Amino acid sequence: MSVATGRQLAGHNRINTQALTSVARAAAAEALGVPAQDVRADWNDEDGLLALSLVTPIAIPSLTSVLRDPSRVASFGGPIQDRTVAAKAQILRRVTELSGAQLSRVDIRISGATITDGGRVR
Amino acid sequence: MTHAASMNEVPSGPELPGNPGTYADPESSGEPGRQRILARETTSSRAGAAVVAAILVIAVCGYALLETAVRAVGQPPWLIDPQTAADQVTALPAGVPPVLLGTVGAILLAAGVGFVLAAILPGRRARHILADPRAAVVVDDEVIASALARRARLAANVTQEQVMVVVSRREVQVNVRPTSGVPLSTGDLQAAVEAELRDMAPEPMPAVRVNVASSGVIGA
Amino acid sequence: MNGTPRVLNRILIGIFGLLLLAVGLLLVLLAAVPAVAAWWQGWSSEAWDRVRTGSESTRIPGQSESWLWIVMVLLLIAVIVAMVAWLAQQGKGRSNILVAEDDAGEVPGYVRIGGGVAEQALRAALAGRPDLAGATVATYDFRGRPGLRIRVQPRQGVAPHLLAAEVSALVEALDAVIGRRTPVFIHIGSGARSRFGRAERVR
Repeated sequence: MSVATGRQLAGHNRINTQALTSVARAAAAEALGVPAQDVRADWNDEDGLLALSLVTPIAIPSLTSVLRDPSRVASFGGPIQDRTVAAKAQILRRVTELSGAQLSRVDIRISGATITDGGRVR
Repeated sequence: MTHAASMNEVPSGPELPGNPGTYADPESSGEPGRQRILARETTSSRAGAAVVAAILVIAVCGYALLETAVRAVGQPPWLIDPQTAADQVTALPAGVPPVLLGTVGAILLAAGVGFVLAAILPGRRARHILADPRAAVVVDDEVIASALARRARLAANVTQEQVMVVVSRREVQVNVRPTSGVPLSTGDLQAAVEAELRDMAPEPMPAVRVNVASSGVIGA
Repeated sequence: MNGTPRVLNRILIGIFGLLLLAVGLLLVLLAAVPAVAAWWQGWSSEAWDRVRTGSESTRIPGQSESWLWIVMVLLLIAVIVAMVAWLAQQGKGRSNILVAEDDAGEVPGYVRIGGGVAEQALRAALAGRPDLAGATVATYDFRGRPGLRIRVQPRQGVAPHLLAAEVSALVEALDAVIGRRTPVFIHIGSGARSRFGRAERVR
């Protein structure tokens, strides 16, 4: 895919799928608190625009810690549903920022949970 | 059958977890399917009988299919020609020893009755329902018996071997062999088990019957 | 907890039972009561003759057999297929998606939360509890809606209502973490399958 550069130079940059995938995965990893290598990204064309499909785990506090302190949920950014909805926008912004590619949609499927308690990933 | 005590008084009041209102009224807990889930999980699905019936029908129809297909195509029959089979069936009971016929008939009759009963009877499983505001909870009777046995053991101050609890749908039987020379208060034991059962609040709430054996265990 | 068709099972089993019962009864009567034998021989040979004349008049042109046999074959195949389908319905129902929402927020695209999230969270919370000998969590489909099934096996003597309250509290924590309340079924079991006996014994 070709992308017009932001500066006033003639010429196009082609960003290959691999690089785009890395960008998407890194953006998802940042938004959801998981390692980028656990994120799977797939691309589809939707009427000339790019559709991004992600399958990824998400970092959550342990249930016992939430029982002790209900504010842990908020400290992770809220319930999974809200976080994922917000992540869609965050990921779209990142990908467009870094690559200029126009995304039509971002689908996210949360496949699992990474239980994080006080920084230690279990 | 006499019951040692009746468990009909369940303390009411929303603050107690045993209040039947919380789970008997599924709308209040926001889950309209809860009653259905509980009904499902406390009765047998008859999946076993279904599998047996399906396999038998498949076997019989499969064989009939084989013979019919062979016949329809005009080929010689495999085991029994449908025509000859029909002739033999219409000529019954001639040609078959009556004892054999009667035995096979009796077996089929018994099996048929079995299947019909399986279809009609509720097939209640050995389980009770517990009240809970958030989830549909079902407990195996063995777990209830185990908890009550522990409580009984502590209340009667005896060992595990001296207590046996039997839990059925409407009754809990506590059988205790006391320690020789150590008197056992049946009333206290009954009260202790009933109290535990009240806290548990299983549905349907069983009655408690305490049986103290006449002979004791020496030096437990 | 699954999608086994319970009502259908009972209906089909009942029909099957009635058929067996009828055939068995007939055989017993044939063996024992001569009057029934006489009636049967008369009635059934009449009926069979009618079927045979029927098949004579419905011959396929050019074939030596009537097309009634073909009908019979198709019928048998239909029954077999139906039975196989019925068999396949037993024990169904596992599912995978807990929450599905399309186009929420500013950005188009779906958000799906897989059952694995709840399963892992609950299993981790239940693991290592001294009062449990085992715990399993599964997602299933109940009448089109997703649900969770939690199965715990307490050790001997554990009070089930206290255990249920604690598991229920964990489920409420899960609700907060996920952001949606899913129907939950908790089964506090004894490990071995609970039998249908009227009494269960334990020390």
